[in-house]
Amino acid sequence: MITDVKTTVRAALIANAALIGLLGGPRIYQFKAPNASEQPRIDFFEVVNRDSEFADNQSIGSEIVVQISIFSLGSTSAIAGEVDRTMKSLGYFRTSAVDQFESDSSLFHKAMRYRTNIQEFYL
Amino acid sequence: MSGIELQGIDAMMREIRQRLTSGVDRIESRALRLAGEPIAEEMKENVKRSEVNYVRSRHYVDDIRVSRVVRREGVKYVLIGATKATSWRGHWLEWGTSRTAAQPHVEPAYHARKGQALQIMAEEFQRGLRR
Repeated sequence: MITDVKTTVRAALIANAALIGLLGGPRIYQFKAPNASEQPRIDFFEVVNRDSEFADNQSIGSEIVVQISIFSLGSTSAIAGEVDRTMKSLGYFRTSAVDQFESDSSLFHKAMRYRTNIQEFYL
Repeated sequence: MSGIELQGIDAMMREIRQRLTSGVDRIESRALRLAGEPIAEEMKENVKRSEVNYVRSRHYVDDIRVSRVVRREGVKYVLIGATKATSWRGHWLEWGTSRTAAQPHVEPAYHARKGQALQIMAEEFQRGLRR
């Protein structure tokens, strides 16, 4: 099982200087930010992590889906572009993206899902 | 209703239509509806039931169902998800908000049970051909 997805994704996002500049700091949180009103920021989590390929009755691959949510009072486009660049550099491809608006907080929420298949070889 | 769309397999359906002169519509509809059930059940299992006691509405999880078979432009399909009454809640649950963590249940359910859904459809079509 691939267990370092979140560490890898967070490290790659933080290593993107343009992204950190747009966020105004390393405001990238796993699952849920400690302060819900902090913005702009990124929350991310694993949606799916399951065995996907088999050989000799053993799993040799993992199908992984990660959701990356951008919350901002302004446009999310530039941040989304940098996130997309980083995720694709990790070998993920985008399977969906939705725009939402939270009327109580006036926050725009862009949620993007990325998928990859990672092969694991046990020798 | 929002959720997942399950479509029949075109090539398989052409073959079946050629071999069956009557009853194909019934077999196709039954297969689609039965195939949607495991995905609907998986969706329900992935959503927590809130403690809200609904009087005029209902819990989102109780509203997840397989629709009747719809035919549009010659293609038959079923929708799997909640009705208009509660589907707006499902949207927030699936994607999360700035204050509440997401409870993804639609996409994971589809990927977890799509193989089973296709298997059910294949079995229903085989059963229909044997009759």
